Amino acid sequence: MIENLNLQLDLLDYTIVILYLGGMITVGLWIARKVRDFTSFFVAGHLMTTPLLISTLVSTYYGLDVTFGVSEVSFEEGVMAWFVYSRPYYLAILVTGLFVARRLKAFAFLSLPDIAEHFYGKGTRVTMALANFLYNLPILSIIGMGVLFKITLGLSEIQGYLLGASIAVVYTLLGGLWADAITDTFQFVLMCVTLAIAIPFAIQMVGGFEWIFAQLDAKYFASMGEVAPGYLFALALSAFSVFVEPALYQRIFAAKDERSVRRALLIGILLWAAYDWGVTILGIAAAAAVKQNLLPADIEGRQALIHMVLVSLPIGLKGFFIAGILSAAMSTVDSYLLLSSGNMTYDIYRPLFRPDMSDAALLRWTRIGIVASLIPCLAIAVYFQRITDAWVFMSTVLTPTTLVPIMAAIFLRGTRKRLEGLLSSLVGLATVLLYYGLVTLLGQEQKDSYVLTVYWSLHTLELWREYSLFFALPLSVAGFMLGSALSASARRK
Amino acid sequence: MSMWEIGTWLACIVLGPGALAIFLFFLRDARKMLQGLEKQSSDREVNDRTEA
Repeated sequence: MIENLNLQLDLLDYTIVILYLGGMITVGLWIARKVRDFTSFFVAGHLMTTPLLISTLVSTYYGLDVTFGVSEVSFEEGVMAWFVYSRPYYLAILVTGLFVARRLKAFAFLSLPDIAEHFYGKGTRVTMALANFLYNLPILSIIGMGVLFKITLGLSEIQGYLLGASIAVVYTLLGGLWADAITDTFQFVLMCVTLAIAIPFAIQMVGGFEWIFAQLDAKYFASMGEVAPGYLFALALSAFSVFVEPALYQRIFAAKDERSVRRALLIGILLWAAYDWGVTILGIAAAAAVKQNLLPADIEGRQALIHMVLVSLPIGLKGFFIAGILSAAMSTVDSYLLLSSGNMTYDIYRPLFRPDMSDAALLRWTRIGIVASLIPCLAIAVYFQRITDAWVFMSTVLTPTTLVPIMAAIFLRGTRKRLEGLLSSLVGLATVLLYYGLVTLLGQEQKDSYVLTVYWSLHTLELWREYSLFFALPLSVAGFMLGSALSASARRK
Repeated sequence: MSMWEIGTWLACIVLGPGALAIFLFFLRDARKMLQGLEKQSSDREVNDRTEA
């Protein structure tokens, strides 16, 4: 079986993938004729209803990082991938749906830095926009598409990056969030339904659940796995990013009303949980397939899901599954390219350099920004040997810079002061940069990460690169309090 | 049947029929949303012409 591992697609599979890609561009072209102003382009004219919100939220927030990342963990560790990695996020989304969305819908904001300027001024707006821009570059999904096209179509990784990203750019460039959200809806159905179809095929291939239970170690079914308490806490803290997730905010602003957002997030949790569980089980099935010699023993964890599914699905369904995986990637790439372009043009360029810019010019510049955002993405994807280095930094830069000022603006009573937001976000950003740089330069490489061991008296302290939030968040709070105290003192004088 | 199996088949139901049901609701809303988009665009054009 291993020698005959057949991942090649049939003509029917290719046809399905090509039809899918063509269909997405057609939708983009069609919707582009209807979009003529920036608000329609960037927040879909605040007209989105619950079903469209569910589709665009679920498909945007879940890209190849989740699909391949969660299945990689479950392939190696078991069901803890769902309980430890995914569960804290559902809680954060629930809190956002119940409490944050209502407060946000009370204002007519278009972006997260809009909130910063409204409460704290332009300095905080620009700091947050820079952190947002770094976070929004969809590098991992572009790399995922390169790997996918390499495995399935035999393209080089660079050709894969260019093909997948170009198609996502074309329809986003034309139709903005409308094109993005409507293509997201088709992509949402494809990614969910193809996963639902793939699961029974994969489980049947490894002989059903009885065989899975019989062949795998008990650790595969330990809900909390063997994770150190510090690492668990770091993972739980990482879920705080949901409270300032730019794509989530953009969709809250795009919603018709607060009720539509709340419903979409609550139903979304069910779909996210099901999706996570689906990829977790496929990773476990792949581990059982290795035990049965159905898959090679040296298979990479990240590729376990795609190998498992392509080996177990029949011709035709393979094509649908590839289209589903591409959907997961493209729905993320298009949304985040639009956001990063908005950060450059709407959040930084216009307020700083051309405050009198017309709506038409802003729309034109945002379209140019989508292509411009793609350039650093492709450059990082092509030139970085270890993508995790860039990705860990980008994913941790957002929360310390934005969480404290944004939550304070939304929930604290009283008037906010400029210095509170500015110091909080600058201190948060500086701490992350410093921590990341120190641990990467002075630390030792360990398990795809870096660890800096600090000796203190008779104790040793292991500082993992993922622990930056432990320092950056409290310091961001301290920056906020310092700003508050300085403002009060200046007022008294 | 174990809890893992029940969870897996429930996930399949949510991802398969559940996602399709949401798509049908989207189709129901689509016409109204697109009409709203066209109205906003035409209002914007009228405003631009008036301002010009």
